[in-house]
Amino acid sequence: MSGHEHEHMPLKTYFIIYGALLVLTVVTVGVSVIGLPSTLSIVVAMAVATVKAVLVGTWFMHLKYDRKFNVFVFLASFWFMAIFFIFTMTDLSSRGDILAVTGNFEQRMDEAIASEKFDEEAGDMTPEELGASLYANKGCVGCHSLDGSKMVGPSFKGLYGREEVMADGSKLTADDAYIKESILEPQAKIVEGYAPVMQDLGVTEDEIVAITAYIKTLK
Amino acid sequence: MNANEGGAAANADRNPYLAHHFLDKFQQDDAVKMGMWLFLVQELLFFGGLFMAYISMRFLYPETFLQEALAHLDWRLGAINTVALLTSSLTMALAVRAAQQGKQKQLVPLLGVTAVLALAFMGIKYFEYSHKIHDGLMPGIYYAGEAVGAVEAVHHAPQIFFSVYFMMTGVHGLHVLIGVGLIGYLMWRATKGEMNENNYSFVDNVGLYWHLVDLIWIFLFPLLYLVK
Repeated sequence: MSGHEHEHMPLKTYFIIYGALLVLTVVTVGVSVIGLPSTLSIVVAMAVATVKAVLVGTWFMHLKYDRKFNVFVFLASFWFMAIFFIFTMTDLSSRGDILAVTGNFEQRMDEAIASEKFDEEAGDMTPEELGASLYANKGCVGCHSLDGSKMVGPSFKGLYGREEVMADGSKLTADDAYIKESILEPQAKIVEGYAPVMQDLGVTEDEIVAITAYIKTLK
Repeated sequence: MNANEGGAAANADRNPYLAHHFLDKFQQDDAVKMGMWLFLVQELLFFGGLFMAYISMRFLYPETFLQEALAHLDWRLGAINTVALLTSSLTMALAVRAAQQGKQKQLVPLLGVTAVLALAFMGIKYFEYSHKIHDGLMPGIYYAGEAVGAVEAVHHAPQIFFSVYFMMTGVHGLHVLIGVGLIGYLMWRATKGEMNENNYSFVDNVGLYWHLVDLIWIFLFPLLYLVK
């Protein structure tokens, strides 16, 4: 069966379809000017556009009179587009949940860059040597002595494994976790007799490991 | 009827527009048309990617899309262009009808009106584009909109809206221009009397292409100019 009936599609039909398309254009503009709520607005606009597309496809493109297979081919493309849209949107709309766990791209890039920079600076140094270098460069040296003398902060000499009395009267033993916390969140625990004045120095996790190793050597 | 049968006598009866590898005109028309539909399908899937870009960017920057579209796109120009394309679709459909019925005298003027409307569409687009380029409302790194007092806020990325806007309308506009070229070629063939009731597949297919270009604009217009 070949689509030759449309040669006899009455002239009137073309103008009726054209009129309907113009009316629908007025409707879609009118709805926008009235100003519906956002969600409703997009639903109405897409519904009107779809009706217009059906009119154009059915009569101007003669799908009404065309081979059924061509209709099938045409509609199949919308099916594939629907698959494309739905799965992409599922991905996009669930990104927030994933990023909440893994951190966003920029955060992970920052970490990767910091880690690379660390490897470069560390070179062939042992963690202890690197810790000593960081002690001087990151500013620890300004407030923490190596000879046991009291400065702005407690001395690093013999710090690792020492039992410290905190400002709130509690006692704890200085271990890896305590040193890490004291560097990342300086105000979390304050040793009795010292002021809570230390700042966040922007030390990375890798650097903390090296500094801890260095402190362990200061018997 | 076997195309090889009868030698020269049968060949003389053959439709001069029937390619030798087709049995008859119906078979040829069906094959040509199915090829055209397959082409249109890939066009739709191609534009589908751009529509997906619009949807995802709008999802990520909802306020940007509203503010930029409302502040910088004139729905009246969009509406005029919509009417121009719809009207050109009508004249194209009538041109196809004229070709099928062998009405040569109608065919060329109808194609001419279609091309003029298409050029009117591009003229308005040119006006819109030059206005935006002048205001620095450009995609990506070329964006310089702050200079004319555009809003800046956290998560406000006007350059992304204009990337989507120029990409979608630009690719669509390119299709309109290609359509104008095809219609011009059809007019040239038609004036030579080569587009008639025995040979209208080409007119038919350019018609289908043209309606698809219209169809895509039917969705672009509300998405870019109207939706709040």
